[in-house]
Amino acid sequence: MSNELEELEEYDPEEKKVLLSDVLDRVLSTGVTITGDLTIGIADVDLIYCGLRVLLTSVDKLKEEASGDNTGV
Amino acid sequence: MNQLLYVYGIIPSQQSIAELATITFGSLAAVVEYVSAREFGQEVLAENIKDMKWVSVKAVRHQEVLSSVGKEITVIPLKFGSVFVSEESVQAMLNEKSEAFSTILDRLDDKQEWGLKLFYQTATLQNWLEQNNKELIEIDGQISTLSSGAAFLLKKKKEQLLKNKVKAEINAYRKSIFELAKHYSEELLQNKELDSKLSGNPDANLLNLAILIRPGQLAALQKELIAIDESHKSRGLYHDLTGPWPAYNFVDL
Repeated sequence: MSNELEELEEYDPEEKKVLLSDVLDRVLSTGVTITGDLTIGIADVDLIYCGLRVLLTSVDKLKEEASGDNTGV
Repeated sequence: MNQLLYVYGIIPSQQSIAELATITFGSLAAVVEYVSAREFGQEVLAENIKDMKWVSVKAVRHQEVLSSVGKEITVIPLKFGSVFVSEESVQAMLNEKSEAFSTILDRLDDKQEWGLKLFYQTATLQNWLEQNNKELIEIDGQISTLSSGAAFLLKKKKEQLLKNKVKAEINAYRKSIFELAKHYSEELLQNKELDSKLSGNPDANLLNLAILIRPGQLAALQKELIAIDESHKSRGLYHDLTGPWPAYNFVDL
């Protein structure tokens, strides 16, 4: 049985949706890094984030090369 | 040891927050959440952070907590995945960094981080230049009167000229927005321009700034940005301002 929805929350077109990429960009690559008595080295998170970026950019590079549009550096 | 402590950020200890636990040491407090070692223990976590879906969910949680705390209180955001083994280890960390944290809290007081990105639509800018730039219009006129061989050469020349004009237009726009941001903000730094996949926007990212600004200055900056956008929309140049963010970009120890 679904609950009866009493009232619909207002939609505000002025309110901007936060992009996941914006969140990841900040949360994974910035903020205070504490090293020491942690269970995991923060460096690992850096690596994952770098990996994500490299992956995304290399996919684009491959596409460029495949289409022969090799104008980039 | 089943419980670990995930630390979101650091706040002044005289502040209290309703929804989450805090661990206090002197004038500082860490905003924490007790998490399971089965999810955040060293080995499990090392595996979990390879899973982008898991990371995304947790990163959004990290952001939402800091954003909600930051509405009322000045907060120093910690990086994603700052997990501690015990309350004592959190206190030891607060003790060790107390001077640095206090300095940062003072610096961040009554300021917000905002992200300011500039974008451009290649085709729109090129069209606008072809229709509005005198030199380009003149060349177009000449091309239509020439034989095909001469027209070809002139077309090449026009292409190069258009490239240069695009570059000049973009850089003038970047410079004016940068000066504006510098004028209204307390601190500002430039991050790498984002690839479309990372920016979530098919248009090219021209500039990616993080600014630290007083709430009172924000409205004035927004007003000027909107005015500039009005005159640049037809050229395919526009800005995107997001925030307020926790001051992720301004908290280097």
